[in-house]
Amino acid sequence: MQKKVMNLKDAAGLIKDGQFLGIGGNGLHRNPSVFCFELARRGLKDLKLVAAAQGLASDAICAADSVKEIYFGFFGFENEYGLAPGMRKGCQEGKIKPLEGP
Amino acid sequence: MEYSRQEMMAIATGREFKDGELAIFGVGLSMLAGFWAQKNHAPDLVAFTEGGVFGSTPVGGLPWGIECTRISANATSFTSAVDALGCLVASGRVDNAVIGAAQIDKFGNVNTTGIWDEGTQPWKVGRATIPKVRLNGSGGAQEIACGAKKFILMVNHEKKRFADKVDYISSPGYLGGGNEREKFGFVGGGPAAVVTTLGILRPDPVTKEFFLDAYYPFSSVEEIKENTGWDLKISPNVKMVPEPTAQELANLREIDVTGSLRKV
Repeated sequence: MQKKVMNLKDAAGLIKDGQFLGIGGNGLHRNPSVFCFELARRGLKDLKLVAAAQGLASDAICAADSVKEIYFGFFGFENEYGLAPGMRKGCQEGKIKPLEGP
Repeated sequence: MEYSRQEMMAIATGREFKDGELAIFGVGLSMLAGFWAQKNHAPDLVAFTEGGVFGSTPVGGLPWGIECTRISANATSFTSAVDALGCLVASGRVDNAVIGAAQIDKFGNVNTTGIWDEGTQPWKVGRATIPKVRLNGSGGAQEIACGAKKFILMVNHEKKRFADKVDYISSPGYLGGGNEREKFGFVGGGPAAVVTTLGILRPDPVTKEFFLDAYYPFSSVEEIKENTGWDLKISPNVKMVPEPTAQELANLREIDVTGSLRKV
């Protein structure tokens, strides 16, 4: 049987420039945060992210300038922490193309 | 009895809810208003969030979000956004709802998408314009605005938030006014009230433009007019909202344990 267990660094290494990623979780909750922090450190380029309500994990990748397009209904830190700084910076500088849908 | 403006707003919003209603609460302080109603005068109000957390009451203060453990701890069921928004809201079963807004206009349209420079459009055909401030997006508020039988908007009353025309419609109110909602075939009935930190606005039955219906003990008609971005019409029967009673405030503070409504 194929062995699927690997460490975080190797797993993050499977992601390549320009890929389209679905990020799990909802806002601040159930995010694959550690995995995405590792992705942010890798300096990837032109990723596309999709989730219903993106939050901390996606924002870390956006803040690292690795993202080209985001698809979402909501992107932020919800009640307690407000707006997502990485995504805002990217969108306001025109580096990230946001596609907001229901 | 001392109370903050936001506490008054939450209580005035909560008073719009009746016992036995099926209600959905959006992200933010609006959640506290709804759960206060449940605790105060509507014990059989059934509430759920857009994440699908059904029949719960918040534990330990304002939930961080719609799937926070503070809200999901005592839920009767934990379903999904498709069940909550796709089935319950979109089929028109939801009686009442409350959502927040970054910017609203005189027809109750809500913008939570972004603020653009004056004179620039959010998009030209096939191309989006970069906003001055990018906000977090509508989330489930858009489905609620389309599908709930009625909904309440809860907004901090500031001039920059009360625009003559919103930069972008994230969640529809009465669009251009009149019967324009019907033209688009929305299931729901639209916003029934805008409850703010200064007063309560309600829509005109014909034109659907929001007018001032009531002010609070600490606010005045002049103050509200001054803080509104359009020429606000005043109801001839404009009245003062009764102060929160000691019992109402005690109930609110039992839900708002962390004092989120008392910070400003």
